[in-house]
Amino acid sequence: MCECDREQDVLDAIAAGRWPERCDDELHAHVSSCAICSELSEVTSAVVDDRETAWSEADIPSAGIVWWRAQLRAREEAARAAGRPVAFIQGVAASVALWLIVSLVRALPADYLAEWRTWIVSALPSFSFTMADVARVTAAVPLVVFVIIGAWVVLAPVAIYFAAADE
Amino acid sequence: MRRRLNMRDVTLSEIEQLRAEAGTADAVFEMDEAAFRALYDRTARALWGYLARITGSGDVADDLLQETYYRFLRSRSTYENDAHRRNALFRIATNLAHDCRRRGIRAQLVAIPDDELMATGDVAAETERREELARAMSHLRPRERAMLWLAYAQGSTHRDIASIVGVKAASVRLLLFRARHKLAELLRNERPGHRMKAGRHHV
Repeated sequence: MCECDREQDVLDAIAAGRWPERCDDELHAHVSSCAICSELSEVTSAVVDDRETAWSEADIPSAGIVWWRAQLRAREEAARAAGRPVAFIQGVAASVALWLIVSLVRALPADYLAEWRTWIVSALPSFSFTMADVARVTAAVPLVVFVIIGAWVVLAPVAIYFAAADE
Repeated sequence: MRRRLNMRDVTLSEIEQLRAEAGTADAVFEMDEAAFRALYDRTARALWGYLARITGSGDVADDLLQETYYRFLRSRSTYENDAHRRNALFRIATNLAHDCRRRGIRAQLVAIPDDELMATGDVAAETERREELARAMSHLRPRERAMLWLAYAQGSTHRDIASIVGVKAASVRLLLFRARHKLAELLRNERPGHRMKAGRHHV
């Protein structure tokens, strides 16, 4: 047996704040003699007290802020969802282009490819340089250019960080 | 790197910016702002209390509260009345809390320092009672916590509880009785007299 006919009376009394001081003796007598109602009053009183505490400690943001944040997030999600097919098509186009290039290269005769390879290697400039070359270049460039480049190298990551953080 | 914005950190200029952006775009949700504000004002405090008690953490409740309203707005469902909207909110909150547990985001019961417990009369007794209930609730299953809170703190009907927690309406009475019995026993065990006796047994 897990129920008693007087449960609702006990619940009503607790909900109305009448339990235990402002209740009639008859209900008190019943609760003290009925294990189900006794447990019910004990648990419900504890939970209702805790509800009051929880509600008083709830530090909830205002409705307006929750609304605008939700709107912003929904728009961001919509924009992301709209961009997904474009990214997919770009990926497919890049794959097809790559496949075409590879197919074309494979279709070419071997000696023709060898000729091309020789031409590319001969066309590439030689990048071997010595410390003397570096010193000659740095002497030719004014100091202010180095200062600007140095400042840019230091400040650019900081600027990127703040730009990303403000989003 | 994206900075996580806390709702309470929002500045007036940010609100103005959001307001301007929102004004130029089409309506995103089914519900309009006035209706949302009214619903939020009626439900947010109760929903936060529910989340805080079933997850055992105010911080988790803060996050889940935002998420609950967002998902509710995004669902674009139409509800017959306020009671249905309220049930939908509590159902979303219950599922989010469940997901949180599955992902292992578990709240630790915050111990109240002894000097705080020694504070004057009523405050100390009330704090002690709250601690007892929190400890006892933490031993219950999440579904039991949710059912007890909905039934006795929210005054939800058995049908509402069934739809929120995801059990058969016919089972609610028995499940609720078992959860209540378990909590009553745990509360008795948490009482200082009982704890002292139990401690003496162990020594």
